[in-house]
Amino acid sequence: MSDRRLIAAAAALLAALPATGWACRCTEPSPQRALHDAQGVALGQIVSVETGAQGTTRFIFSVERSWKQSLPSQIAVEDSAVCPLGPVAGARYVLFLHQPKSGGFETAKCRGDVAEDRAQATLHVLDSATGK
Amino acid sequence: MVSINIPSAGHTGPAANSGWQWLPYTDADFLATLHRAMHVIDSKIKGYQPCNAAFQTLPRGRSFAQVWNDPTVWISFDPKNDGHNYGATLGQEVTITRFSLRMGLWTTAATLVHELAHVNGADGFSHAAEGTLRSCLLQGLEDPTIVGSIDNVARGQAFV
Repeated sequence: MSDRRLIAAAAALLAALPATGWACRCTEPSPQRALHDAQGVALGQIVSVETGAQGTTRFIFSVERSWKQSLPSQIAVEDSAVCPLGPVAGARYVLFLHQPKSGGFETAKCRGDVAEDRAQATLHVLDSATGK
Repeated sequence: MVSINIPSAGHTGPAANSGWQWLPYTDADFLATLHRAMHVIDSKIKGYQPCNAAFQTLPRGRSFAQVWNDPTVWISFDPKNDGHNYGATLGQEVTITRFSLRMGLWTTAATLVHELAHVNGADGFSHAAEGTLRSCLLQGLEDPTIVGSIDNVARGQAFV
């Protein structure tokens, strides 16, 4: 088989493969909107990250401060499969948490989550809005 | 051309995932907006060489026209109307939000091009998908903050 035909065959094979990717188009909400939409908000650190069999990502988050509801010192958080935050162990975040009917906590990109080193305005909004 | 998920198409989109839905279009106004956006893409963007070239640099390597002409790519509807979610993609399955459709044909067209870049392999953490708008006659619709470009810079600075 000539190189050109080999390349064409490889390209056809690649195009025929089912895509398994996910992604979304979104912008981050204002901290006020994120606070309104979340069931709880937490400042702390991502302790560990594990990927499940279905490609889902779950991480353990060490909670240092919380708003809207009192949270335990460690919580398990499910990352969105479609619009993932992409957690990294050791990262410090303000997380806007949602609680699905199935229980637990979940988050996603475009829910207002912000790295702590960029969270000054968000923390101000959280403290002002909740009287802390 | 890509296929539209309408009830008569008999297509079943993916199950709801992470709050996103892939539903058939049942609202005539939203379907009309989608058709207008698709007409702009079909008549102005599909044959635009820089757009095709930009798509060929994405991981799956197909030109924009090749992706656009693929009837196994489905466009569905998501009722989200929250002001900051435009659309999502799972494999070959694209969904466009009510919010995006309410913003009109240009926002819908930009969201379609962005999501088709994901169909062509653009990842969800970089600005690659949104960046194709610059090459696809939709530069005015490009949002520099969309999906991760700024977040990734910050993440890199914090954890490298």
